[in-house]
Amino acid sequence: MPNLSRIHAIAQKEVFHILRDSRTLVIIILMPLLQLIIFGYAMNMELRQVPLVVQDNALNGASRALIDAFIHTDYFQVVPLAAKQLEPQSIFQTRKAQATLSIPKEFGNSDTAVYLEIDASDPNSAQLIQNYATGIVSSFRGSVAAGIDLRPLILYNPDMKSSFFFVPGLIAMILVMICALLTSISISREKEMGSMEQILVSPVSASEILLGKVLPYILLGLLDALLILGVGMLLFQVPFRGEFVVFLLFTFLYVLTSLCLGLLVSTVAKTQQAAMMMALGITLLPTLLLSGYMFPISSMPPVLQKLTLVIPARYYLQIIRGIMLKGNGVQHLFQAGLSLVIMSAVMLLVAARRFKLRLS
Amino acid sequence: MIHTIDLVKEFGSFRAVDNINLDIAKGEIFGFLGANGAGKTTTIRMLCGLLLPSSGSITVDGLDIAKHSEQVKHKIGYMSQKFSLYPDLKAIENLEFYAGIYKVPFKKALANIRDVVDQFGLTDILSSITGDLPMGYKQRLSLVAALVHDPPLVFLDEPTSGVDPQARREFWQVINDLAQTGKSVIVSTHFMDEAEYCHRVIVMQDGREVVLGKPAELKDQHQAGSMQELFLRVLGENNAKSV
Amino acid sequence: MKSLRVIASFIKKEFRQIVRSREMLIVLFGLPAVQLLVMGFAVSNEVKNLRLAFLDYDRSSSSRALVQSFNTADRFKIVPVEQDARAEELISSWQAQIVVVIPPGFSQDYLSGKGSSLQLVVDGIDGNSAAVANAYVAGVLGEFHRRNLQERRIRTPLSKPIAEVELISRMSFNPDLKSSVNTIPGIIAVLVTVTSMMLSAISLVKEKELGTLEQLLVTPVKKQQLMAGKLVPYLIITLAQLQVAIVMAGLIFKLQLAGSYWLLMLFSGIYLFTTLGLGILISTKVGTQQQAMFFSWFIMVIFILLSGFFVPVRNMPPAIQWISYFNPLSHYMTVLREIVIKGSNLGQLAKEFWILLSSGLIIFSISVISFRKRI
Repeated sequence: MPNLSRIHAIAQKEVFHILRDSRTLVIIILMPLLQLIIFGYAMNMELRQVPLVVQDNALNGASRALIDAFIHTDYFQVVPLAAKQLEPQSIFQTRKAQATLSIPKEFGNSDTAVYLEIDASDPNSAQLIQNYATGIVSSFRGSVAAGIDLRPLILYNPDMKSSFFFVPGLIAMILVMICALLTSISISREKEMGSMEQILVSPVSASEILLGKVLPYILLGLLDALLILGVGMLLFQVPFRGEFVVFLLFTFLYVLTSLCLGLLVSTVAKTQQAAMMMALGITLLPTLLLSGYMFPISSMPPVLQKLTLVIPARYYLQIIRGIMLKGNGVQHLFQAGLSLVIMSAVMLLVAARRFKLRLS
Repeated sequence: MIHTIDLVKEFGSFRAVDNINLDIAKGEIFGFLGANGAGKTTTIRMLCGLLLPSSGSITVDGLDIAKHSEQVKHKIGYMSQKFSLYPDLKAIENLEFYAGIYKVPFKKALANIRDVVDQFGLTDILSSITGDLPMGYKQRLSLVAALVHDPPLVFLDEPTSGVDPQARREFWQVINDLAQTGKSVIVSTHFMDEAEYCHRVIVMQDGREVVLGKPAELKDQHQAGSMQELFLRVLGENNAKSV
Repeated sequence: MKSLRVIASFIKKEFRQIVRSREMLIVLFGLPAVQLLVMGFAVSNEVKNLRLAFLDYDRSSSSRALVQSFNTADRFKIVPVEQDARAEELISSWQAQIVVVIPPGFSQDYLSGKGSSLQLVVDGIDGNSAAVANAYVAGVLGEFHRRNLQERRIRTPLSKPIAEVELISRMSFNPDLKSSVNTIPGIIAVLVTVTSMMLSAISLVKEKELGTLEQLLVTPVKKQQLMAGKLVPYLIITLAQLQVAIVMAGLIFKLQLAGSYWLLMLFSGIYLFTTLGLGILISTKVGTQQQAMFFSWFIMVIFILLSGFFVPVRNMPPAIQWISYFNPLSHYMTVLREIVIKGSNLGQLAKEFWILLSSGLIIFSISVISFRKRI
């Protein structure tokens, strides 16, 4: 049975380590906040005021009306250019405009086509520009027969704010960063400095060491997560629609999974630097790229989609977004939770085996 | 070779080295004795240009260290207390690197250190990775690395700490031979038996000189049978004086 | 000349250390390769395979035809659902991301030309995907309507009330709208930054931690030699990595360099002065390797987020656009994309050239000064 006072002693030492290195601590706390602010304000997929060059060969009322239709939306702004500069390729190369609109001479008199050339070096923006332009042109011609009126209802995030998406994501990021990255570094640091041996010869059991070492990080991780949650809710009005208890329950489960991951890394890595690199390579980057934190999993190639199945953050992201934004209860999140449990169990088994091998 | 006048080093209000005057001759083995924190290492670090003195002056081979640090560094070999060769390079690669740093062609550098390498029996381990070597070999290799440019002045900061007695004797044999070839060797140590091998020693406490002279004469003056006894006696007298 | 020899022995030493360390090799060449692969495929703001469900209360041939018209391309993945389900419940339980509700009487209203409406329910948690989903659905409906109109017109030819306008759009430089065309140069810019900054940030602290720095300081090595001896190898390694990345981009992602290779190298060389300088600056300010890593990582994340890597700088609010103007990575990324995708020349990139050059000069000088002071 682990002895509480011993765990306390080890945990206290670990807290000293954390507090002593104040610069790292500041980064750990500041980093997510800064990311939150950047994501909340800067990560905006909507395009506004796309610079557009217009080459109007018709110069009649109809063509002017069409140009006005472009300007009157917030989507485009017309940039004037001298006639000799109208070669689209070179306009795009000098980045004077992102699209050129060319109106033919016979415009307004008969059925005609207008030509839109788009700089597609950023395909996502190009797609949006095309959508906007199509919308403008089709409403301009005015349909013959009434079409289909689409009444969209955007659930949970009617303004489609990116902060709603990123705040829960950041919490998942921070927890894996602190629980997996920092613990693996701290354990391998002890190994590197030989102080692990010192502790091992004392009557402390392995479980006491581990508990003592990870407890401060769990606490730090949870505090940091709550900080992000608070700032996100205050600054960006991110809602919290679910039950807080459910949130705590699943978060605890995720923390456990992250710790198992960190433990696994530390049994493999020999030095701090190796632990750092491995932790970056197998925790932070996959969480960033493959968990659906930023990029939708469904858009990835099938091989990568399979790969995401072993990334804990993938499940936790569904859980936390479900709880915060959709107000999901346990019944909706059961499957994701089960995946986390299975993953922790497997990693813990492997780590324990490796740990024993090392000691014998 | 080395001449200092009223050397002082202060760290804030703490005086680590207090008015040290030294005159070390060519071919001399000069020992720094004292407890930890007595100011030995700080003095040595100033003598080889790692620290700037707060006041006082140092001349090395007639050159003021403050003005000609560049030329002075060519004359100095330094073996630090902490092992400081690259552990991930081979032994020979470390030597090659330092030869390059001192702008000595590698062949010439090898010629410079050939005798010492033989004496230490290092020939066979030169192609091993430095980090894999046992402590004793690392220490010897550090000394060799300090000699690649054939410096007239060699500083050894606690060279024999953590080395077994057999190896220590070997080390002192090498130091003696270096002095025979005309190099001045400045050694700091806290092994009092080693002090017997020095031509002259200075005993330091709290940054100040307690005594300075030839071991035999000092022992006579203070009626001590060994350096150990001398050391304890002079420190005792010094403490009595300052109380 | 002798000074060059000192630098040469440094370079030799650094390379030996790197080649000997398996971890370092993995970090320098293995990790970037994996990153390029994974990120090349994963980093994409494209929205594909949206889980789409229909609740068809009309059950007419028109409504079925409408459902059929969504069955194209890889934008949607139609999920079968119970027809008595509630749209909101489908989304709340993660079964669908979009639900199209076709009300009873839809086909009657539509065919009579009275105007009809559809209810679209979208999961808004990912704002970007939601907006794109909305646009996709509108596009499909527009197309559906257009086809119907044409058919009707053929059946009952009327005199045209107004002239029809058609929009024909063409995508320059990237006709297939492949997202890798945009992300790969971005990833390469990030890799160049990460490698050069990490290496130089660790460089000095590592020697400090090992104690070898002190040994170097008693030697007659000059500070500029020490610095050059450290930086030249890192410059070479980073440029080597850049070559590998360019070759990989060509082989795996079929991305051909449209512009001048040497122009790309010129810009990279200039840009590296900034990142290597920053790394050295970090190295002189911190005490341990771990701190060096954390610090450079911190700076890099900010650089990357505000670089236009994920989201074009143009989309950001003016204040942040202004800040990112001071982000060298943002300019280097622009340069890389412009040269690789559009084949732009030096004249077209003159602004970036001067910005990167001056940032390199300023930051590098600061780092030289701090280096001299610190050591």
